[in-house]
Amino acid sequence: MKSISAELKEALANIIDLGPGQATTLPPEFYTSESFVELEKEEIFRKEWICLGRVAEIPKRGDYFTTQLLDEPLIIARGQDDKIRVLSNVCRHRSSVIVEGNGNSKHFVCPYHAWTYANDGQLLRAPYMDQIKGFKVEGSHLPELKTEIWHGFIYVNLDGKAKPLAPRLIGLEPYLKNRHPEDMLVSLVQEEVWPTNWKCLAENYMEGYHLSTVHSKELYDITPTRLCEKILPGEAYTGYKAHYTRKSPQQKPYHPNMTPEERRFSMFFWIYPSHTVGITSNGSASLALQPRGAGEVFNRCILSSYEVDAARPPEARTEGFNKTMDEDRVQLEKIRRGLASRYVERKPLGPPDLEGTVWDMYQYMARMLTPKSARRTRLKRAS
Amino acid sequence: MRGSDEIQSIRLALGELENRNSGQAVTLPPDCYTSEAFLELEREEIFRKEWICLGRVEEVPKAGDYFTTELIDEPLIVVRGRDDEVRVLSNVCRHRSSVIAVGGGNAKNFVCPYHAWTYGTDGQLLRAPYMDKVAEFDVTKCRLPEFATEIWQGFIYVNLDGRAKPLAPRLKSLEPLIKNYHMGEMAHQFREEQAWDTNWKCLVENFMEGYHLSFTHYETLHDVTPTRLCKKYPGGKGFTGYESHYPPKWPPRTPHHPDLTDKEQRYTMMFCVYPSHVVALTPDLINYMCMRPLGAEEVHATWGLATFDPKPKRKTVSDLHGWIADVMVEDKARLQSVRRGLKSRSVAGSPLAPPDFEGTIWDINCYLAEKLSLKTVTKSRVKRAS
Repeated sequence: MKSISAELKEALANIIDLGPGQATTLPPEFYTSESFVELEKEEIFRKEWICLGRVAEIPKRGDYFTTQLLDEPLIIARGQDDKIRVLSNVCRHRSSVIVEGNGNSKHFVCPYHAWTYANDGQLLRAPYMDQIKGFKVEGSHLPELKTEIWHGFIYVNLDGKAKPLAPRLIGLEPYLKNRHPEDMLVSLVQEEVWPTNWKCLAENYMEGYHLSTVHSKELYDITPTRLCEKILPGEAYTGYKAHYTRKSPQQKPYHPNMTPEERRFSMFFWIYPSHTVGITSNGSASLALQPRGAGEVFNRCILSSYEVDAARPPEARTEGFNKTMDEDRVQLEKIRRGLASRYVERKPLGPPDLEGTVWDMYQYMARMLTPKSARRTRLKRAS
Repeated sequence: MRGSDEIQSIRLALGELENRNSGQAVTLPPDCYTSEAFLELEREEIFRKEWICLGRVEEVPKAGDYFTTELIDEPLIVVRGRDDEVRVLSNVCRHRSSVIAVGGGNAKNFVCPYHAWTYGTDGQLLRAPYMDKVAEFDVTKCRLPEFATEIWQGFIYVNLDGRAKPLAPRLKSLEPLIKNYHMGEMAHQFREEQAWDTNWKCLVENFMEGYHLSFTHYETLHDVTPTRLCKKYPGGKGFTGYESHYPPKWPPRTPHHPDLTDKEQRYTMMFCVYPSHVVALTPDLINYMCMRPLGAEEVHATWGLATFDPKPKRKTVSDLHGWIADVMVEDKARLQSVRRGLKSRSVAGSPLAPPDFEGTIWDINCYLAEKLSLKTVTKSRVKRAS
């Protein structure tokens, strides 16, 4: 824990035992420290389930897309056996990245020396290597990383030691079962880098407190702050319902299983640490985030809906969403400047229905970064 | 503290590499390419202690001709003095440490732009305004430091720490292989400074192995120098290399020196003078790069071209420039991918391809291990102690 200042360490350890009534913000270091983000990468992003994308992006055998998690170039591929795998996108020979972008292919050919891998990662061909004693192509394979699919989202766990994800999210099932996010089609994938700490973007997406102010034009008439309602959080998630005003028109098409009540709110959920999703009555917007340093976040954003109007250009399909995000962008820039100030003090968070998700996330971070031993000592000291 | 642990484990890994024979050739540990701490070690132990190529003598043909360059934080002037001797001088004013000359050209003197201290082309301070009023200051006793310099085959090498053994003897077994080209008589055509976003060794390896020719350069080089025709020759203490043969159909490369044998006219002679000078010697020209690291993932390369034809047509030179530049674009893309790949924790050592294709990399790895592995250091300490 040498990467955290004593103040932040103490602040994190202290909040574990606090209730929602005592929720406060954390010191700015939580968002601005480069050494803290290094710790987050090691202790959280390498050890947890991180969302990479959606199953619907690779519907057919041989379909693949590439991305990067921390310093790991990855291929997400549907093999000839129909299984989805997350493979290291680094050639076993001289460490070149093998494929870029996305497409459909039975093979991945490294552009440097043409080492050729099947889409399950098995090395098939390596020019002239048959002359090397003891080298067998069968013995070489792109490392396959631990993968789990949940409601159509693909997650990876880099260190391979995370417990299965689905059981940890069982408490979310009642909210999702009628919405069937896994049935949605992909409308657009956009990859972008935002100049903000990854947690600022996630918190902003996951709290309803700012809706009526920051989004007074885009969202106030539909999902005003006053109608937000937090759900009971779990070990690995939190979330809230953003209820619609009576005036706002019903968005269609919605899933036939949805009850009339369910059609009247958006469901926001946060799979820790960095997958945030908003599901409206007719679509979803998923933000899969990862840090690129303390002040930069990589956002793999996927918009989905039950029906995709292929005739409309992608820009038209995403216009409303991007307008809202642009309002957030302006706000997050103000926060970036504010957090650099030395006069920032810890202050209470808004009421649970409006900002309780942020507090839930703080508690998760505290659990992840405070060693069990430290917690036990604290209890002892208290008794 | 972390830096020294990091270096320790890399140097131990290099020691293990030394126990392998050429039949068990493997890649270097990935940290050798990504660690800033290891690069510091390379700068101190290799780039300060070895002969590093800076350019060609034909770039400074007349007395007073000079060009400036830099080698691991040392600004340098390469200049031909009035006595016709080529010197490498420190390009830092002895007064308040300003860099003196920029670019290149012909000069009688070098005048520091800050306070007009003026040096001769041999580095001797000639004038220093008002300094005659300073007691004990003697212009005649002040000069720009001159670094150990050696000219080999028309290339200018510098050795910063001044303790390297002469270069030519270390390249002796290379000489019969290149003598018929008469490199010393070739004519300088251009020099270009480049920055590549890659570790310096990645660029050296890329230049020096024939394994990638048919794949990375399928459009540009496969028809001239395909991988299958590459043939390594034995390396020596200070170099390694291979012959990159042309298919029978490929037209002769002319004009070239009449001494070249029929056989020599049918391949490109590739060699690397350790640590970072790489040359592609074709019958009709020299295409070379001199590399110096700027950081673990950035290298400064001087790219130069000399031709046997003393006055080639301008179009010939620009065609050559364009063709090689196209090849470099392909290499840049590959090295960018390698840079990203090397950061992955999935990287494990790989066997290298057969000696004709990647044996040069193994030679370079062994050279590096000999210089930097922990075992070597212990050995030399023991020797010194006894």
